[in-house]
Amino acid sequence: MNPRAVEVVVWKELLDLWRDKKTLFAAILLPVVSMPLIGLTVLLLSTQQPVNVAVVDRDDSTYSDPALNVTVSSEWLVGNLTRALEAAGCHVHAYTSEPGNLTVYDLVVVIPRGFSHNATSLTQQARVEIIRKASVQPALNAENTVLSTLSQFSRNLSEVKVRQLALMSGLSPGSFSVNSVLQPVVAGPVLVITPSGAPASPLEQIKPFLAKVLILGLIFVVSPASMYVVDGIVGERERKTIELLLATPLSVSEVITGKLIAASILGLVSSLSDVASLMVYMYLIALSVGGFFWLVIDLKLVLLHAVTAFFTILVTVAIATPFVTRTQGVRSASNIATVVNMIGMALFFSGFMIDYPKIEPSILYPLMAIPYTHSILVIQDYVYGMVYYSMLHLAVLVAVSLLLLYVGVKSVSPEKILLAR
Amino acid sequence: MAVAVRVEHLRKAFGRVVAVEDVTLEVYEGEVFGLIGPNGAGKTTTLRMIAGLVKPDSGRVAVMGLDPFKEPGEVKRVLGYLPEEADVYTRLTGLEHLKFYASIYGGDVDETVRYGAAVSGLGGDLYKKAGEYSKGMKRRLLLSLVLMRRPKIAILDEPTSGLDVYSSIKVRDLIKAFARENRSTIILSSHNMLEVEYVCDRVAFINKGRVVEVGSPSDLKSRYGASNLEEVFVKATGG
Repeated sequence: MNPRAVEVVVWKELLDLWRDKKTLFAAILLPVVSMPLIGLTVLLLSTQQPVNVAVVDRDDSTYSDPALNVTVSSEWLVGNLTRALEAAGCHVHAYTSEPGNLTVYDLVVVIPRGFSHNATSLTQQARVEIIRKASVQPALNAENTVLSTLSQFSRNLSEVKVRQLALMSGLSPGSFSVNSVLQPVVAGPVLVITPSGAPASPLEQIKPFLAKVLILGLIFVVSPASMYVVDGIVGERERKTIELLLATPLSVSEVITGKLIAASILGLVSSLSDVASLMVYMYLIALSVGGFFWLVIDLKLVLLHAVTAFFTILVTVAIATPFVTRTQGVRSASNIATVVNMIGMALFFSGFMIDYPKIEPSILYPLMAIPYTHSILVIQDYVYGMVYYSMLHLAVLVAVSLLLLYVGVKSVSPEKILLAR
Repeated sequence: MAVAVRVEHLRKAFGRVVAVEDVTLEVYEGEVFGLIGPNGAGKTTTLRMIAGLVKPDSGRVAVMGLDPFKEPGEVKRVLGYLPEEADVYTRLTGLEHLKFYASIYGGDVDETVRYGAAVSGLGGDLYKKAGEYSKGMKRRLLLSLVLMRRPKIAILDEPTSGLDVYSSIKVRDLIKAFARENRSTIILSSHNMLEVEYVCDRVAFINKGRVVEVGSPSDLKSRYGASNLEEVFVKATGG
């Protein structure tokens, strides 16, 4: 195979591709535009779905325990709950008796009669009832806000009670700690370390998640690349441009290899734009739920992902090539490419959820027969700090993709391309 | 005269359909040779076998003494082939087509492109995307892609198929001028007998996958006592 001949084909393919705005839009710009747009839509819509909460203060009383000298007012709790829920974007309605129609509320918080009395007691527990609609997902967020507020209210009350009991028992204020009574056992400090044992920086802590996002991104690159190959071979036959090309001194191997390399370059560019847009999407989604997503870039990881993406695409199109060239039309060729893509998608989605380096060898080794397993392991082993194994899997991926490319192009002849049935 | 292309007892079947039953012919260096026959006679399959694109089930092909299936690279360097239904890359300009095909062959690419541009006669239209070309312009561009590197043998499958009268005349003149200027061997297929009579030095009639007659148009007409090649063909095939 003459590299110069392949270069000529790649030049023509890339020039043709550069002018094919629809394909470029679908492969590169569409994810860049659509993913952040989805994130932005989620962010905007999430603020437009306020949860209706009713806080029913049936107790509506203030009680002071004369022995402990502690006072609790249900009105205080209503005030705390209202502030916290409104800060979370909920619509809060306070009542002193149960409203007639409860179904209009997504969450109802009921402070029962005797709440203040029980809360100040040394023998009773005060309870707050919560009624939540199962079908309303944001109501769960509101419930968490209520539980958090109650927990803080309870903690403050406990501190007051413990101090009073200590005074009553004759302990001097400096001879005990409230925390050692309320929380005698706590976890911590929790030290997060890197695979080498050094303390992990925030970037290193987020890296495994970033790696999984990169693996997920591979899903979006194999599809446009393989469709491009379908178009490049079967489409050229249908457009009557392939026969003239096959009549030149270019060998079929050179023609197909040139097309596969161009497809892989398209996939690589698509991969980088997908990852960028996916990260913007994750950032916006995190914002919408009040969290935070570090927009961090580990250039070595991104470079490793780019190389992995290139060879993952090459392996995909190399697998599809012998079948694609033998099909009669674009539709049947696309179906074959879709089957190959589906295998990749299934594995890459699992790579987003599962840590492959932790899988039992008895399961992992058979999975390694599928080239995509190595794509996942290149990235995950790197994040696990197993750089040697990461490079080993990359070498396997490169070798397998080149071998399949060789087999793929050698199995095709001009006659098979021209006269496929 | 030296033989440029020798074909002996070629046979090719696609499943149960026999496209070429038994074709034997010789084409001499420097002549314009016509392969004439109705649709489905086996012209395209024969030309594809000469070009090394389709392998015969049996028989032999020699192009300048070379076997297209054993030495495909060498054969494709001496041979240019224009398929019947060839089309252009719609997003590439005419000039980019010339550059692409000239680059495949290497050598002095600029000189090849210059000659190709002159052969095409498309002038300033070469800077336009080929998708904007008329059918005749596309055909001239495709023809120039084959002829621009002055191949020793050019195989042109139905070069004027689907073209209007004016475009057909331009293409025919182009072929004749090229053959005269370069002393190349040209094999063209057609079912247009008038065209073949105008362009070709010798012709072969092919029918149902077999060569039924070979000769110069004037010889054939006198041999069959016919006024044109259409009559010769009807008499030769017993139609």
